[in-house]
Amino acid sequence: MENSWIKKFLSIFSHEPVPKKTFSLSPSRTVYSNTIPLGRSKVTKRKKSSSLPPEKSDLQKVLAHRFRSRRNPDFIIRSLQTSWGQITIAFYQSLTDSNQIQEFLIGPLVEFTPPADKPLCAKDLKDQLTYCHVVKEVFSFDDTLKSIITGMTFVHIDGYEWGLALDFLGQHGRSVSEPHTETVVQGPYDAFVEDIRINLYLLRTRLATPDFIAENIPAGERESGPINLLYIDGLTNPKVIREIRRRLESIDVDMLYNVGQLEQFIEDRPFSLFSQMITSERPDRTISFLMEGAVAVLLNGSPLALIAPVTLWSQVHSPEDIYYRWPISTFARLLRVIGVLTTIFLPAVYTAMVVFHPEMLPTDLMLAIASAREHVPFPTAFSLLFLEIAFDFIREAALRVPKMIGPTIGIVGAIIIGQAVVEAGIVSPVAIIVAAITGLAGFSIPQYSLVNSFRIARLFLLFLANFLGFYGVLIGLVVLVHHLAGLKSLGVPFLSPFSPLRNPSGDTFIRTAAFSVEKRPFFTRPMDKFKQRPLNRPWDPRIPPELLLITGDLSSPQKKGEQS
Amino acid sequence: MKQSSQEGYLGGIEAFVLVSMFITVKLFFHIPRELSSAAGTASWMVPLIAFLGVVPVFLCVERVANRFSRASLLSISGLLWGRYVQWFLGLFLTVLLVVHVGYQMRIFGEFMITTLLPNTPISVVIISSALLGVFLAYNGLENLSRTAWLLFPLAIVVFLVSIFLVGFQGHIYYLSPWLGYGGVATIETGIRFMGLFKEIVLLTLIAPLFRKQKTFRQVGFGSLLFTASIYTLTQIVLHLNFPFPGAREVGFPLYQLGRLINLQFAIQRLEPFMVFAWSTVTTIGIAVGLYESALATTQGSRAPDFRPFLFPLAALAVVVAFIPESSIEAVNTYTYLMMILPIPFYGLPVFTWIWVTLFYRNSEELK
Repeated sequence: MENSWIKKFLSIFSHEPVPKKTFSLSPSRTVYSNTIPLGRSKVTKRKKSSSLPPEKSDLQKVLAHRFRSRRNPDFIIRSLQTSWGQITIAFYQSLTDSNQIQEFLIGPLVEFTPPADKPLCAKDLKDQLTYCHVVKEVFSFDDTLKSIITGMTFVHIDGYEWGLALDFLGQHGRSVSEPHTETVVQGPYDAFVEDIRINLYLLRTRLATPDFIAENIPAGERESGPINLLYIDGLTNPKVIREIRRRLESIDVDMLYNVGQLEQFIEDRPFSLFSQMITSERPDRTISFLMEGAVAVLLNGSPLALIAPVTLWSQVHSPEDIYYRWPISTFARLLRVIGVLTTIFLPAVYTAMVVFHPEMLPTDLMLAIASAREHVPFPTAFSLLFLEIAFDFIREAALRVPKMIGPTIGIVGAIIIGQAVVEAGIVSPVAIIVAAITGLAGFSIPQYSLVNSFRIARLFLLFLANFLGFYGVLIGLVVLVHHLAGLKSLGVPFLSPFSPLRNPSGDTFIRTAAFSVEKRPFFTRPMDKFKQRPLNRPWDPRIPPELLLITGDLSSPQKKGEQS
Repeated sequence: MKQSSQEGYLGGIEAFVLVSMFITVKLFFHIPRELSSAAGTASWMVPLIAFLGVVPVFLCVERVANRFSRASLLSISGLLWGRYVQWFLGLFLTVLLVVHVGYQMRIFGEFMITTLLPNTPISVVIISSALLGVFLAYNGLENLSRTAWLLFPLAIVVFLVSIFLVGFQGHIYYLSPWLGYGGVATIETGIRFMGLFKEIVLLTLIAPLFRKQKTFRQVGFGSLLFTASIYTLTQIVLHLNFPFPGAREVGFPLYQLGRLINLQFAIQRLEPFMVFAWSTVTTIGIAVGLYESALATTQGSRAPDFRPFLFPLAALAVVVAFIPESSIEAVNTYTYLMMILPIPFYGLPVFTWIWVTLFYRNSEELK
């Protein structure tokens, strides 16, 4: 409640300055430096960690107690007697691969001969376990717990105050498959899965640069895996990285189930109707955003990447826009923009015209609409609302029912909406056309969360249009535009580069030819502004020689050879 | 005066559009008729003459702002004459602006119930426009200017389409006699109507939100020139279509011009859509007026934030809007206000400039 409205009001009388709250990427704004009040379990996180009991029996007792091994048979504590010592191995059976443990851990341990001239140290044991590449030394009980719950196998030698955590994770997740919501005709057909390591693999196989950083940030208290913050060092603005890291680190919850949940913790305006970040299940799309200077967040267990900063326009872009020729992509984008306007405004404008201003319509059309509405006892807005709700029922039902009977829902819906309601005189055929076009136009938008946001905006406008006609639509339009103009995605104005007005990069509404988009979008303020050299078609005879001279293409070794 | 910490900076183009919209609100009311009535067929010259008269005033504003690194006029007055004068001037400007916005809301309400919503009570329109204005102004001028900029294409395209569609139906000889009631009378009317641009006083209060003096200057001159052109164009088209005796009797001239368009195509009548587009300008203008009055209060009282003042001032503006007993009374009072408000609005910056030039020396100059 530090910056509450009341405090602002009281500050009028006390002349206290109101502390700055907003984060901005603008170079004129300094780095946000306010300290974050620590949450409840930050204290518990800092609890002093106890050391590892050296005695085998003590350790096993503590582990068995902590993991409730009697009630929890999935947790295994195994004792191993070898010629050189007593070994304790602890792991979750469900998370590890028992064959690997047998072959790459127990085998080498049994064959191991400790050095005779000095006491055994962790390094000696690590050198013996050559088949496992992820080996961590563990010195505290908390670290032991953490390594076991994240799927590592814990190894302890009786009498020593250290242990080893080894990675023998089993592959139980689903394999990489096609995307479900961001399908494309042209382009790659792989999508993220629930396993964060596979997701990183999908990204790293595409982005071959050591600057691609996947930073680990601790997730929820009871979370198995970390949050991975992805960015390209030297390209992404450090201010953006600092800010997203600051927001991620300030999260202190039991569990994060999905990036959609995570988004609400870190976005600028969580109470807005509109999502200020993009969730994508496509590695290629995620990389294209990273290459534009954005950051992405991966969460273990979530098959989506959370991307920011983004603009509204990038939510209207489809992943395959970059795979098509520029006129086709441009046309598709314009079509989507028309779709956006249609899905938001068509029912409201139709209601305003029919109810308040029928004189706007040509006489023949006006008479046709009037005759169609003649037998309908309900107001136009009610008819549209009825259709909207019926449409939503069908959509929800189609999502829930088993796939085998999915088409049945469509048929039933079509019969109910298309035929029965007209014959029953509940709605007019024109209202059905309006509702159908509105629904179709909505689904032309690639970002699913945006479709849902627009649906609520549409109902709000319909309500206003029903009572105030075009004046109501005007109020709705101004409110919507004002709200969108005030949104920010990680400090970037949501309607950039149109508001505030800057030079578009050539990839906003109109997608120009790929070779002509030289710069990255300015709004992410990337450290490296150019994504390609200015002249990528020097062999083209239409390129003026002056340009070749400027860019140095005439002085290439081949040209020099020709000149000499 | 230090602006509220949540305020951003104003972009040049956004500020230009915002100020232009604030000035052109009157265009959609009865003001074209008043111009016709006052200057006859030469009414299209009036905005140009008024523009020439306002330019020196704005030069004073610009010089004063430059001298004090774009501090607001009320802060400067506090520096020159003390905090009590600053407080008084803040209160004075607030009262004037609230009255101005209140009358604008009333005439806007009359306009809406005359054109779009004949069966709706005027109170619904007035109160909804006030609430909308508070909502728009609450997030600060940066956000409001961006909203204005995003709605500008809609407003300007509809305006130009309507003007050109109607303009080609007109008769050029309706513009004669070219000098209306005579050259001197026209100039005199132009000076009397300098209040067409009185909203430029907004710049004196929002000067701290500009990053550069050059942008401040460009926005001021640009918006004055642009709005003068819009007024002139409207008056020309009005007289092309309505002979002088008719032009001075039209209720809402721009709306009546819109009614002359008959497309007989996909959309038969355009005027509801035009009113829709023009009303966006008016709502933005009302929001700017509310913001400006809250800002005057804030700067006058040296408060850190303008937001707590917004709602009470909007409530006062609604009260003012209900004062006139009839639309005729509201229209006449608004016209009268347009004539007298320039006296304080232009007088204060000019007087400040004179004072600064004659009496004020800063510490470096004294050395």
